[in-house]
Amino acid sequence: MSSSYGNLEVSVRTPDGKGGVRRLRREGKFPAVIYGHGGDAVSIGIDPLAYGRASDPKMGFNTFFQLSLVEAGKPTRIERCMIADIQRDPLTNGVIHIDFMRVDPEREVVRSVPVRVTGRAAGAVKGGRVDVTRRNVRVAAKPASMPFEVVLDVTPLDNGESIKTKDVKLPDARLDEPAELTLALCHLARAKTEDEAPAAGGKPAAAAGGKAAPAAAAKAPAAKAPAAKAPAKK
Amino acid sequence: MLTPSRVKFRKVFKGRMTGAAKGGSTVDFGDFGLQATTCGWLTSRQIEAARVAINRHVKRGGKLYVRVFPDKPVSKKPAETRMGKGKSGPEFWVAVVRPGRVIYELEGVPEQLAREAFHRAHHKLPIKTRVIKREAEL
Repeated sequence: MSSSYGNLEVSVRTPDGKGGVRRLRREGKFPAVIYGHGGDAVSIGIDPLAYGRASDPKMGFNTFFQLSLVEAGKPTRIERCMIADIQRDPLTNGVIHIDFMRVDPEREVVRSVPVRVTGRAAGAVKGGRVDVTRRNVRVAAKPASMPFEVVLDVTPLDNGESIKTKDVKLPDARLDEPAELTLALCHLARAKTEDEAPAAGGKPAAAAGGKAAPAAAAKAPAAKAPAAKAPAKK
Repeated sequence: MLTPSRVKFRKVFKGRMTGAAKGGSTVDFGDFGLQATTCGWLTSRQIEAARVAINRHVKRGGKLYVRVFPDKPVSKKPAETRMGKGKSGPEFWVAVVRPGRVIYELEGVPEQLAREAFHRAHHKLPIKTRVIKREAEL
């Protein structure tokens, strides 16, 4: 994580409550709260532009914030926290309110991290397809070493093979999911692929190459129709 | 076309469409969504027409989610009928859509294809819309 991200100056909100929040919003700021880790809840106000600059676009909600609390014009203390909840306007997508949870930089936290798939599976080259079962996975790591994504390289996957949680190795982090959870699976998209090829006018290339398939299908529309319906019947 | 199979009350008041969507304003199922930016009534015909437009454009690829359901009956007086004599029978069904509501979601298609498909769907709807992408989860 770059050092410029995460550092944010926030003002302690006094008085708290409806009137204070409305006054804050009139100033163009949005309210937020810091809680957790045995400490008291602190109501704060944040400048949206400063928040935008401090928020790491790569890390997103997993940005490790170091909030510098300003009270009566003077910085008082620094709170290390991460976003626990965020409310957004459904239309403008602007931030309405943020919950910050205090975290210990030396202790693991569990966060949701997006999964990204790279490579073309060996099984996909043979006509199979890759299914990714999870968009996000729970990752346990120290706040500063939280990965921004979990990369799954599916290149060695053949048909019938899968990547499970236990196969994924992350530097300074671990997946907080069941060890046998399947993250990516390569399988034959349609079991009938081999049977269809002879039916489509004796063109074996139709099964292997994607480009030859439409030509074969165009010649034998009657043969294509049942094949198209087959997955729906399952 | 989408219609409720059974309703508790045959006729309902018109209602008002003030404010923004209360829920269903984020992409929850697919990768891309078509979000309403104005309010309006979507009839079951319009919902179906837009659905067909999307499916025809993406062909058989991807998966489409329809996130609105026309559960509000709209009554209409027959032509050349004098005013009064009570409320007429239900003619069609609408879904009340407020700004922010995600109407369709697409999964398993490239962004460009999803945008083109949603653009076609937009032309079938009586409201202004925009395409949004799935956001990171907390």
